[in-house]
Amino acid sequence: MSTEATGADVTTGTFEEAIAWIGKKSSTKFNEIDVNRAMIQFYAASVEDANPSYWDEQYANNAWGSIVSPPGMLMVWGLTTDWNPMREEGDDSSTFDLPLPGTTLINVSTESEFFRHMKIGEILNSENEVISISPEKKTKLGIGHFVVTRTTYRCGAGEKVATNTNTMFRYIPHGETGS
Amino acid sequence: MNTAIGKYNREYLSRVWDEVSEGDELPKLEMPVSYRRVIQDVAATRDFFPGHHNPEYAKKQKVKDIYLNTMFLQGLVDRYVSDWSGPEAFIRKRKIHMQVSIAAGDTIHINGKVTRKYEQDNEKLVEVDVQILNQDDVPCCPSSVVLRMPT
Repeated sequence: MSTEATGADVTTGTFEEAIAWIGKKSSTKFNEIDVNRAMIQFYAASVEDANPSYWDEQYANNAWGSIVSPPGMLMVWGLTTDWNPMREEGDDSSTFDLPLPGTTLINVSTESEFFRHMKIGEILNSENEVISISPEKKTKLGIGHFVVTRTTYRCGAGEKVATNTNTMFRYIPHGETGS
Repeated sequence: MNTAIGKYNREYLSRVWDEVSEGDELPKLEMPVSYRRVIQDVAATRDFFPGHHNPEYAKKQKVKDIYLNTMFLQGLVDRYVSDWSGPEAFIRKRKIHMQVSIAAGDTIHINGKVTRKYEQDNEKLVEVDVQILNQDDVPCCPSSVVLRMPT
């Protein structure tokens, strides 16, 4: 399947190449998008979350100082626009770039810890580290490797806001031959 | 219960730590997953990984149709727990484990139970186990949340 048709852009390579990434910390990545009310409400609407911390300014200002982000948006704030004329080459490296035989990926588990609310107007930054890569495993979906990464999120002043430990499966689906 | 007043004089109730006991069950929740819902998820999270919007790609991944992403499931678990706790609780930790993808056409069934009540570093905490199952009763996404609760 071509990237053109599917939009999936996964870098492939060997297990040995990938292993060299373990323990390497990415450079600090600054989010393109600030925590904002419109996106908070689209997200809260998608899961039908009536928590007034996301909807009711009067309540939220009293309780937290402003409308706050649902914790589940931690990763949303770090995604980039599909197109951005201001982006510099090499700005958008991600774990999709980890060279492994798997031609596709699926997320398996995520463990998050939050230290405080994310407030409207904040621009978070993050640092990412590959923690481990499993030997080849076979699952119902296909054959591949489990990749554990840890991301630390901070606000502009450097205060730690949250951490995320993520496990994804990079795999070749059954019936497909690797590239 | 703590009470707070918001816009239009709305009243918001929040459960306090003392009112919670280990073993307490949360009210069950059901949510049908339509194509519209999956695409709302994409629109809200801007996650353009093709498994979430391209049925053909999802099928090649061995998933039956476009499926909900991680951020939706996190938001759903948070919403489920927050519906019960009220808005004053703060989510300190959340763990989700996506065992089976939830695709368009499925129906989500959620249940939850308080498994632990404790204090740590001056925080009053409650741990809630959350189970997300599909219409065939298959566990799809066992999760747990640690809440800091008001007093």
